[in-house]
Amino acid sequence: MTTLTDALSAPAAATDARTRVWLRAMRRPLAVISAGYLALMILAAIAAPLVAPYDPIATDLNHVLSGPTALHPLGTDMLGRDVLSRVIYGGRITLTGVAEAVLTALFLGVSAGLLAGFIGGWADRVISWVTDIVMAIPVIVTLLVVLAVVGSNETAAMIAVGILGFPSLARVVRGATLAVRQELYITAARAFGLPNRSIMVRHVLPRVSGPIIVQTSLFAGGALLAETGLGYLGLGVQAPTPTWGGLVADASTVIDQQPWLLVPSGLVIGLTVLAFGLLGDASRDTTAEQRARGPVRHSSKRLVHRTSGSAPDTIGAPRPPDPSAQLSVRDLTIALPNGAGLTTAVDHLSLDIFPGETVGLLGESGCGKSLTGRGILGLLPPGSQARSGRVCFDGTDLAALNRTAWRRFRGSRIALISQDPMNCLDPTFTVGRQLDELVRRHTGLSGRAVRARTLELLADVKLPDPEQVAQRHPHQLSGGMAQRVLIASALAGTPELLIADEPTTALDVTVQAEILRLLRDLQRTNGMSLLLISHDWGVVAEVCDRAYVMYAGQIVESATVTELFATPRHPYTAGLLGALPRRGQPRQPLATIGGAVPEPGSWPAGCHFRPRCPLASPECVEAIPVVEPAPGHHMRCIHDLTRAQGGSDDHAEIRA
Amino acid sequence: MRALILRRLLISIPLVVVVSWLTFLLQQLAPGDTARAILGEHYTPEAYAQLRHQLGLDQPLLVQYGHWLAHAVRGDLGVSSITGLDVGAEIGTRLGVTLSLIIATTVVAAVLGIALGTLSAVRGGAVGRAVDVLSLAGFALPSFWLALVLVTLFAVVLRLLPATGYTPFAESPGDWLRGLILPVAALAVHGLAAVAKQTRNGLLDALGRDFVLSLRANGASELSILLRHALRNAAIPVVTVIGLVFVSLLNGTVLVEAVFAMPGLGGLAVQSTTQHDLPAIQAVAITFTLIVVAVNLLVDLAYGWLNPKVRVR
Amino acid sequence: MVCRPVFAQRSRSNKARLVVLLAVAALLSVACSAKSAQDSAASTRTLTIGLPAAPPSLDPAKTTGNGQPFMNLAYDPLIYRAPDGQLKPRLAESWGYVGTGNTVFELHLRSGVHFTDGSALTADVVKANFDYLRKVGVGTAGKVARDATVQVIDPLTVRLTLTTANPDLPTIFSQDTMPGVISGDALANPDQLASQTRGSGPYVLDTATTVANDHYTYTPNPQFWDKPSIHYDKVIIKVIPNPNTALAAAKTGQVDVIAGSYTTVNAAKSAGLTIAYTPFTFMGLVLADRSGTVVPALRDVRVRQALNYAVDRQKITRGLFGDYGTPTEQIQLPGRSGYSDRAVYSYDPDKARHLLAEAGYANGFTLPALTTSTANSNLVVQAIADDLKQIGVTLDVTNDADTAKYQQDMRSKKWGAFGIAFGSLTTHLMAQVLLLPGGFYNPFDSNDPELTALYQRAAAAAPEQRAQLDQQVISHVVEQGWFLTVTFSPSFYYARSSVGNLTVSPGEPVANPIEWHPAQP
Repeated sequence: MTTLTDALSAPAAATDARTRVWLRAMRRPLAVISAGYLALMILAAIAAPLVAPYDPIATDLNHVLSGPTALHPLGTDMLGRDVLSRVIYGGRITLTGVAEAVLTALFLGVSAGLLAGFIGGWADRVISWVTDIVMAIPVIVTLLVVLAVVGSNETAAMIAVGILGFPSLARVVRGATLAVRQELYITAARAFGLPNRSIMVRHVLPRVSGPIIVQTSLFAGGALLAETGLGYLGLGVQAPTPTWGGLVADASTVIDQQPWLLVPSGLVIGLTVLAFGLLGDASRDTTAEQRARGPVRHSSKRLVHRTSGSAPDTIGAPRPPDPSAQLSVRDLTIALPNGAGLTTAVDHLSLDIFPGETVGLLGESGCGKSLTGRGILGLLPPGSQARSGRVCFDGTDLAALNRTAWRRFRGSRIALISQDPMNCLDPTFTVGRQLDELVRRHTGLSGRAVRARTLELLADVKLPDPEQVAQRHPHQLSGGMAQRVLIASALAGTPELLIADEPTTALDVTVQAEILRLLRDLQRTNGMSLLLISHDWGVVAEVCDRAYVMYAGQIVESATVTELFATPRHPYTAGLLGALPRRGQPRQPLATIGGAVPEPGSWPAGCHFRPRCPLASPECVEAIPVVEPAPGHHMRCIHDLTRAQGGSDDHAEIRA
Repeated sequence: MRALILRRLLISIPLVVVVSWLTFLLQQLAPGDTARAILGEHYTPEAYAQLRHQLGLDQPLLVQYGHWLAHAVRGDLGVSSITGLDVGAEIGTRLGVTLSLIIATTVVAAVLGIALGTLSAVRGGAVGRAVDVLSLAGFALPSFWLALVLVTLFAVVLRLLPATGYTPFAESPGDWLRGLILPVAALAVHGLAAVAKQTRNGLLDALGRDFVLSLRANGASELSILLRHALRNAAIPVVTVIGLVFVSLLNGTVLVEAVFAMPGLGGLAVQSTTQHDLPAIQAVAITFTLIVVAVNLLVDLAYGWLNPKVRVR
Repeated sequence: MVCRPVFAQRSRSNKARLVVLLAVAALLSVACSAKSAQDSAASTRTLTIGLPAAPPSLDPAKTTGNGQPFMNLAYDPLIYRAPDGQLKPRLAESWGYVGTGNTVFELHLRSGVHFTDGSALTADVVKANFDYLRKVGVGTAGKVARDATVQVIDPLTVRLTLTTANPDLPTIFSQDTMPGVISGDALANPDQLASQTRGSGPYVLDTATTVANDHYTYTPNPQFWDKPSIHYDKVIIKVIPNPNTALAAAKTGQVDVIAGSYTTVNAAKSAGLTIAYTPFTFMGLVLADRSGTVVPALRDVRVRQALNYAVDRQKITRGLFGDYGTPTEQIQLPGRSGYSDRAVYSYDPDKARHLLAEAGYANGFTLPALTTSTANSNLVVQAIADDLKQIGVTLDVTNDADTAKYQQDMRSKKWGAFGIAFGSLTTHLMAQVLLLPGGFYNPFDSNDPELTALYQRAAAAAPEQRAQLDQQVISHVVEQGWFLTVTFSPSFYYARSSVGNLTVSPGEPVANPIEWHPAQP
């Protein structure tokens, strides 16, 4: 039973456990209640003589088997002994037993896990072999045999429980240790010559404390059940000393006369195990939360709900969606959860894509461009919200669709490919089967025709041997092949618009070029439009007709690619272009834009670029309108860079 | 795949030897012993010595173990020192009972657990939380207590189901099923909780992964994503848990068989311990260990089928 | 053109429907397969008995006590003890002592009796049985066999000559101590007797439908010498260790008769089961260390008497056994030879303290006591502990869950007193185990010459003098405070109304299934 606690804890992958998991877990109400209950039980057990109203073995033969009364709040048993007192004193035995088991398991599990994970090699092999064997030993039979040997020695039995339970703890600690060991600062510590033991105790141990706490809480619950099971069978500590398991056994003999006795005996065990479990749960959830947060960095400031100084496209009447556009986004605002509320990450974004066009969405990481792509398809991460705006696609407002209506659009009219193609394919199915599923979904085909179509698609993306590729699993493909497969699956429904989010970022440079060429070819063949999201100017320049530049949640400039490169008008765009390595001057420091990109939630009022902008002026704290300094060329700025530099179209000045 | 099976076997053989030796050794050290237990009230030093000699208990430890091992590998697990009946046959009759109970419980725990876990992963929010707490409550209640409550309620008060005993499937499938309902209910609650939890976590994990986003974006149906893709990716830890549930039931069955008076291996274990019936307890320990080995092997095989990469650990 | 939002209907999840369907299917299958448990018993007359344990072996030479019902069905004893305690002829038609002194005894056997394997009952077979008992017999029967020389006088007469006087041979040859005579042919191969029956009794064990330690099936013996007395076509004994489970089985009709206990008697009554009960087991403490080896205080008879005055037997009996218990200060059952009407002790804590002070223990003392959980004897001891505390005596209780360990510890002479639950026997037999040096429950080998003399006289006495001598033995023990008995706990049986003629008495507290028959509707 103790090995089941494995199941209730996170998989033994590397966890990014912060040391104060414990304190963080305390923020949850259930965890607080559980911890409080456990503390109460422990205190009551320690202070039993003071707290218990009666002597637990004092009989009162005039009041046998009474239900709860004023004299005896939890009733009396068959000898008239007070149940409440017996529960309190029983806690002493039971909780001591649990402590013995937990300490044994902790000591053995942590040392074994640390050794195995940190030293590795032969230590790891030996320890793994030992834990495998111990894990397979049937617990109850062993306990029975141990008790047969040492008589009713509860300590020996509970230590045996601890020994039988240490493998799961050791495994978790080993896994966590392995992960931590890779980290740079441990390597540094070793390089400095610190002894292994010192590193393990002082550096590794605090980092793995999170999973240890989780596993230990759950194991404590299991140990409690083991102890009470033994008590029920009449082994372990003997009567007349009360134990919780013994109380259940007593209750079972008088079920017909006084069934009430089952209630306090069962509840006290159940509640205590529950408390241990909830505590472990809370700790584990806290640890997992830290992991899942991922790309959105935890803001130390409390949420500032900023619809701050951001402005819709134009001051005054909002610009209506363009009827001639295939996709027309207006004022799209997306907010992300940040632990204490929501933060705006995409701010009143508008863009248009016309049929057959290739449009680029350029920006640094964290500016919200991927989010925009997902937002168009209604696939925002859990907890996020699209707070305003419309996404008009061919006459339909996608922002207002419900789940069922989306079926008609996703894949068949708009499709998406993401970066890191390996992770975008289901590892448990062959490529062929995944494509088959999509083909079946979007076309009416069945039987052999489905696979025929799949092979066609694979051939379309220029894969050399479609039949062979179809048999493979994703992990058997190279990066480039996987990306082609992903493109094929996106095309299974012959969409009219394809959104490609960083399609080449994870690939080698040579493969990049091939993929881009493929995309261009496919676009031309199928007549679909392409929204290419990227941080790479080169990629955009190669493939796109028009581009939007995004900064800190806002579109700051949009124009044809040629014009954007030739005459950037927004200071940020100019700064970015100036910072391109190929524009660097020999023997001169590379131009950069001073300062750093502000995170969502800490955007400045008015223009988000203001603190870093060479042209900033006091008016910039107001809402900035979008202007059109040249036909088809829009920007969000009240200054004009070209004028400021006296018509020079060179890069922006260096800002100290 | 072959490497996996080989590795599993390499661990199993020393395991069985270790367990048998350990039980043997520990039993020998016990203060009460077989001969005394048989004689009981009629103990006299002469009778005791004679009985010990008769049972071969006065020979050195290793010799006794050697005898036992030599017979065991041929399939002869000896005779019970108390009843004189063939231990192997005894285990044979009782194995069916315990296996029925354990397999039925595992199936119920797995099916209901996966269903509940899926439900709480998909619904989330308050429902998810409720399922969480309920499943944790199920884990917390002791199985023997639950068994007592169920018997009182269903068998005694409501008279809906039989209170005791076990009907072999061959005799009457209907009665076999009815007799299993209460014990399985008492035992399944723990396992159900663990499976539900793991399913939920695994599904949430899987549903948060990039390939789900891709599939959704490219138009795969929600049902297919949930049941075919997410579940399959979440399957490995869930299968691990189901394997653990099965093994943990070997413990639970000892207690529950007692409450329901079922003639299974659990009852034999307790009985042979209190009676110091050495051949019997050894045979039970070996049987339990072999069951554990078999289950672990099945789980390993399932891994291979579920995960094409066949990750080892 | 303004882009129009699109609304679509939500389709019901297929999954939910599937789950509901499965649930309904499951419920239906369970309901459809529901069969009344009583169906099977309707056509044939079947008796199902629920007992807490099965004997380790079905060999009557190795079985006493709890194994009796298993033996009663398949084996005949030489002499039959009827439910009212009277001894009646069975395989022996008549019997008696030869001469005086209770050392020579003769049995005259019934003719025309055959065992299930066809062999006949003869004096040689009975002699062979005694030879077998001599070798393997545990308990009193084995002891007698080892002490006796057996002679075959004629094909149907057996004579035993003992070295020591034994007035209780008729009792010993009844089913309580010698459950059955085994077929002579079977004795050539005694190992089979562990799992098969080879007797002359009304039923025979059907090994094909028997699972050891779970259920035992008996079918009528075609060779039985008194066929009309077979009342059932099938008798099944089910092993149900847990008393609540047993009661539930009786209530639902899964079993017809069970051995009951005080914890379930009220529930049994309200369920309409017939209750048969009789006092059987005396419970309390054995104050074993009468010479003061480990507990010096116990050496003084006044101390032992003080302990006897300190305990409120009425209260404890009522608390633990309600109306079904019998408070007692002596070890013999009411109505049996040796029982005395005159009470020696009353509940008098003042007198107790007075006696303690007289003996020099005004401040009390600590008395370590050993108990075991079987038969709840430890509960009685805990109740005693409370009363003793009032007079300053602290009972320091150690409990051994394992009976074998308890017996080992009890005999180790490390505890001066131990808890006991002992099913009453004849005074003579109890004395051998409890009162004489060398008795199993007399670990310190306490020796009282006056007591021993009384015992020996009673052993050799003619039946007319015996009762008085037995009484003297018992009273002497009470006055000497060798025990601290508190109560007789009853032996219970519950029967469904379909079973008739189930009675027990102090003379025969163990119910014999061959007496029961289907009740008249």
